[in-house]
Amino acid sequence: MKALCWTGVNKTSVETVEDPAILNDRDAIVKVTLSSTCGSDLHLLGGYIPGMRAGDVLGHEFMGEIVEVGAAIRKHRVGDRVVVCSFISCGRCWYCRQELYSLCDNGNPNPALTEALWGSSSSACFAYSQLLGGFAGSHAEYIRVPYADEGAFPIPDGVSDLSALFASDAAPTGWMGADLSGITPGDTVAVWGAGGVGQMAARAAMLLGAEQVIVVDRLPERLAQVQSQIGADTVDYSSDSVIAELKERTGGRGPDVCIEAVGMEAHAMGAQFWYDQIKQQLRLHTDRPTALREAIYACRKGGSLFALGVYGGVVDKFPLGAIVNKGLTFRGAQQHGHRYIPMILDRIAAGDIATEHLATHVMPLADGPQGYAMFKNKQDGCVRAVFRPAS
Amino acid sequence: MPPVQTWVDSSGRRTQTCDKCGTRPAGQPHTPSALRRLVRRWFGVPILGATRRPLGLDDGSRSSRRLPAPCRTTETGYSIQRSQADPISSDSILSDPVSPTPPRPVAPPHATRLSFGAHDELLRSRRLSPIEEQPCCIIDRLGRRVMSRALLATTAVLGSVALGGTGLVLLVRSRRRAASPRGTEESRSRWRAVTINRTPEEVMPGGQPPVPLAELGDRVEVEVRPAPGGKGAELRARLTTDHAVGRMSRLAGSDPRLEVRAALRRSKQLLEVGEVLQVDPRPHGHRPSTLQGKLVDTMARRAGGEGVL
Repeated sequence: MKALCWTGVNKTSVETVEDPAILNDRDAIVKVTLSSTCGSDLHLLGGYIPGMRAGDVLGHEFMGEIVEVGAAIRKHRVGDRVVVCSFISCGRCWYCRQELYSLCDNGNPNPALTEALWGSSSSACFAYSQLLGGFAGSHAEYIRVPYADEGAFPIPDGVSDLSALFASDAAPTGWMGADLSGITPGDTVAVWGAGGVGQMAARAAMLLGAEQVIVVDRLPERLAQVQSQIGADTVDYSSDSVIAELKERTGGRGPDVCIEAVGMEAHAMGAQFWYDQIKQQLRLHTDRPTALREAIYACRKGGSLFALGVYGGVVDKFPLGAIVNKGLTFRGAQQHGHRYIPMILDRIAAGDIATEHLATHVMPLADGPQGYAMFKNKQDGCVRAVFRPAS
Repeated sequence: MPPVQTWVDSSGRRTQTCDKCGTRPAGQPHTPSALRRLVRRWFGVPILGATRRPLGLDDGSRSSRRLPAPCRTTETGYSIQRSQADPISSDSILSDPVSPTPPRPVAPPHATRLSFGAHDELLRSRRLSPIEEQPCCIIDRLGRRVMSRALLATTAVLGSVALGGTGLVLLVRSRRRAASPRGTEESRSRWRAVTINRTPEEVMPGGQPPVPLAELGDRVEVEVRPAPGGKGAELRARLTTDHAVGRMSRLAGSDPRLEVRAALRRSKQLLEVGEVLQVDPRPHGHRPSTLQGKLVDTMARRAGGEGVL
């Protein structure tokens, strides 16, 4: 089959690879209909996540059709149209029973790597390096889905493939950030990053009762989507002072809840960006926490912060003093998608959540390298490049 | 020869009066450096920034009291204690030349309360300016000069480096022992455990360990106990025999602890899920033979048995 592979830093190519096979009874093989690029792929592409091996198949946000099931699969049959959570979770361990699916004890066959890095192992994610399991990704014609009864969800009739696609990762990740940050009715919520996850977090905040939702970014096409598709306010950090603007819009208090949906390759204006960039390139720290710093600074006293962006290691100049002295609550997590995907699919069907607009560029898998280049460089107003492996 | 007095510094240590100046404790600022003399001669201003430790003066009663810190600090690091009886402006102090003969030490009344104030009063009485103050030497109780200023500084620097280095080595070694032990005694004694979302009876029915641990035979000791808070059961295992393990055996993959960790993890998966999750063979593109690639492959191959478990 054809698959889009990572071949080196900022290099990808479409190659012919072996078809996946059922290895465990709880596996299923899915024929991929749509597979999306994700901002977190750019960290892999740029070589910021250790444990990538040349030849790894990329892609973790996808939907398709089940074409083969293992002996222990009970919920699915061949022919089902499903969207698959990007995290691989057993559904049986204590963490899964607490609905903390991305902390699953059994989903990652390489637990020692993340134990060494973070002290404990997290679950696995499709195509997210050897650290998170080393599983092959979805930018391919077929993909093996472990624990398919837990991680694959049937798509309701009436929900298009393109809408359901983002229920795999962007929508549940955004929803989780809004949910776990403790939004209460009447809150003001600020979201850093107007990509797919940021937009979904903003929409979730609105649906959870936030009175005012403000999204911070600099890219005009994304800010326009926030206003037109999500219905939230925006701040362009390239032309406005984010802190001053947020203070002005919140009566001098600052947002009650701040959600950071940017991650380790944050962009910013001014010297701070170059400081972080140089240190990251010299590997003196692994992540650029520029947006996170600003979110911490902007948050009101006693407020709540949630880091949705992907961070891999250690950061420099982390404003711990602000967290302590302002009494902030700071949380972060990879998505516990299994917890939210059925509800999100229902909300998409009901028209509460719009996702199709994120797929600004849909293309065949053969154009994958160009799609990633376009997505990485934000060319042509690209918010998400989506591949059709079957075409 | 001025009378010898005993001084007590901030750490409670006693020193005696310097036999050169006769006015202050040995080891305290005394003689300006050549650089400072040159700067003052050329530019007519002193170099500021001299610092001193707070000192207490034992006024003969030999009651060693720890004295409070100076009340105020100027930019030179000195506390200014003005005496109404002997008002001397700072300008006059700075402009006065060095007194050619050291006067007898006169401890003003407040010298026992504020050390810097005591020094300032002494300075004024001798018409000395603060820039004249430089460390001189350490003198023992018998009045012998035991350490020069340069030697003192060198010793301090080398001592700090040695102490810091020793501390770092100890820290690294203790962490290494805790995180990735290599001593034989540790490999023998440490229990390695996983918490399984099952009851202890389900984990070891009739005291029988799960298959992956049973396969290790009498090389491991296995036990199970309830986990607190309804978190299931803690399955624990440890090696029964001493194995000489070190970095090389770990690199070579012959460290017996790898088997214990892997068996615990497999046991957990079998008990919770009913199968051990496989990842290979998996689809992949061309994998060039590179050093980095081999390293990643090796890491992944060992990842089931390594870790901090």
